[in-house]
Amino acid sequence: MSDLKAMNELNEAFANRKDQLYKQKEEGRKVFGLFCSFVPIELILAANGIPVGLCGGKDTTIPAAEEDLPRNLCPLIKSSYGFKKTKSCPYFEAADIVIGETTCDGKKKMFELMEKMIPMHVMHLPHFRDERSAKLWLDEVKDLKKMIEEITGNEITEEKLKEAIDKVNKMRKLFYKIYKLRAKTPTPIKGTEALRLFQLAYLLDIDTLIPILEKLVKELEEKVEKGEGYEGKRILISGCPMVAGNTKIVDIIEEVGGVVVGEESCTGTRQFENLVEGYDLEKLAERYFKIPCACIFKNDNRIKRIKELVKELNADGVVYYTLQYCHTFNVEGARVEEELKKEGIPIIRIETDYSESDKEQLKTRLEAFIEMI
Amino acid sequence: MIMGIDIGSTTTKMVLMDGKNIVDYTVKNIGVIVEEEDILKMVEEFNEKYDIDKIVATGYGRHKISFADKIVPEVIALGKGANYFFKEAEGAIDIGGQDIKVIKMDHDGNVIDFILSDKCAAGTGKFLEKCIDILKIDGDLNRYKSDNIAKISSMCAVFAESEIISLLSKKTPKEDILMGVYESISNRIVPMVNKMKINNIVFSGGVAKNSVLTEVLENKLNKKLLVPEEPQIVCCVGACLMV
Ligand code: SF4
Ligand code: SF4
Repeated sequence: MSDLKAMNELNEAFANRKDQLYKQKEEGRKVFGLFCSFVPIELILAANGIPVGLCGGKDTTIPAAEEDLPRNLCPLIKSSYGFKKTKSCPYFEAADIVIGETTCDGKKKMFELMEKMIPMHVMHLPHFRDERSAKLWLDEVKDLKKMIEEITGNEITEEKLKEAIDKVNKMRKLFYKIYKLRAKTPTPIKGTEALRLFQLAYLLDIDTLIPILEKLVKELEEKVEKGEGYEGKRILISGCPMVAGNTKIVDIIEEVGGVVVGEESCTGTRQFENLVEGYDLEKLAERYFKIPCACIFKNDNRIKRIKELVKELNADGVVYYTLQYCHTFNVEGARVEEELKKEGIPIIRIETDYSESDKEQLKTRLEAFIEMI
Repeated sequence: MIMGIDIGSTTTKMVLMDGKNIVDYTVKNIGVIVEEEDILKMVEEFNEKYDIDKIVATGYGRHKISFADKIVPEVIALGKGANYFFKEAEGAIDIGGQDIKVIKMDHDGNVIDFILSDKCAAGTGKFLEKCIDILKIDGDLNRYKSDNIAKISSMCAVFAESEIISLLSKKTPKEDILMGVYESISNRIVPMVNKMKINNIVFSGGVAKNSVLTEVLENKLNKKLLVPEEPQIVCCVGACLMV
């Protein structure tokens, strides 16, 4: 039980989500599985479809995945694939189609294998940030729209799109507010709870989620006013997403005396930063094109953003988190480390997977890091 | 008097200090599996001879010592300990049972940066132990030295094992193989040290007693290492000083 009523409500909503989803499906709504924050959910919502984030945050499904996939592959990819293969995720089973993207090579190639188990639509995500790529991306968004219209049988009208954009923007703004509140000392919400919020947000119905977020904002404001909350060394996490099932690093940080105040991650800022500033496909594509994922070539914006976040959130240090074999985030980590050190921002890089075997070692490291800063 | 207890993955160390000097110490070959009762017994033995005022615990098993007055992370203790033995130290290498730590510190022994090896066992104390087991060498390791280094290409403990077996079957002298093992351990450590850009490095942990390995490491680093007389108690002394 949380001391925040909204968090308890969130947990309850999640407990009911599965039944609700299957009921929505019976009513004829189509379910779209997603693996990445690059997929514009506005289009799905505008067609009365349901987006669900298909997470792969647990190692239980990895052995089954390793029958087809190499062992030295990111645990997120293996776990995700394993969930479908073993049919052990009700959300995955509810999906009519999965929307993939050409982010990292591992994912891209995994989708080719996954296609044998479920219909796939893969978006070509350009890795350059120039005009030519922006055009290509816009075309991809247009194709996505067509595909969604075909599957749902619903036309995405201007009006429907506008409605969806407003709704998603509203959700993003609420997340922004929560971030602002987390910047206070003491911070009104624990990192473990914030992470759960981000993880579940990918699964819940947006109409259920928004009122919960509104309540949460209110409760957090009250706490801030009373000066209640959590103190300790303030940590910004940066790096790979921590999808549902995976809470290892945040758990450890808060166990050894830190408090996570923000996450520069797809289960964090990349989920809600930047609003769609207009009501057409161009504006929609633009917002997603700005996401600073490590798969982007010359991703300077991300480094800039991390530095800003450290300041905005009054963080004492950064825990740079990568999943084992995630080359993009891991290699980019070297640049992030160099740049942050230049500014005197303490940073520790952690590479791990979903197993429990290195928990003690991680504890030693994180405890020392927190003691040191 | 202050007592420091360092429960590592393979050994338990206890040091007694009067604030400035080491009064007594012990190193026992039992690590993190040691029971709290047994630690208590060991503490009692000390207590019969000396007056223990406070206890500081560190190491992997530090949270097992529920009676400690303070618990400190070993990385931080390592800095303090290295500084105690060598005032000029700017960093330390500690090869533990499970991992390798390299730290950088200021002249007061405060850690300013550190790296730890990841979960792979390559280059750790366990790795060395395992290799020695396969080679069936006992007694003083420092007797085995050679200029013919057998190449062990794999850093992975499991693969290195099969490489060693195959070398043995080719009748490669044990000392040559052992030199290869040292090379492989050093190859894991050297990039970690170079990344930290440190001079005046203390070498701590049980492995530092191995003078041949120390020499291999020194040659690769192109630096002399500072090895305390009893390298196993560095962290433990550091813990004492952090009371
Ligand atoms: S980290 Fe990059 S590839 Fe992974 S979900 Fe986020 S945006 Fe997509
Ligand atoms: S964590 Fe890294 S390797 Fe894994 S799917 Fe995301 S980008 Fe790819």
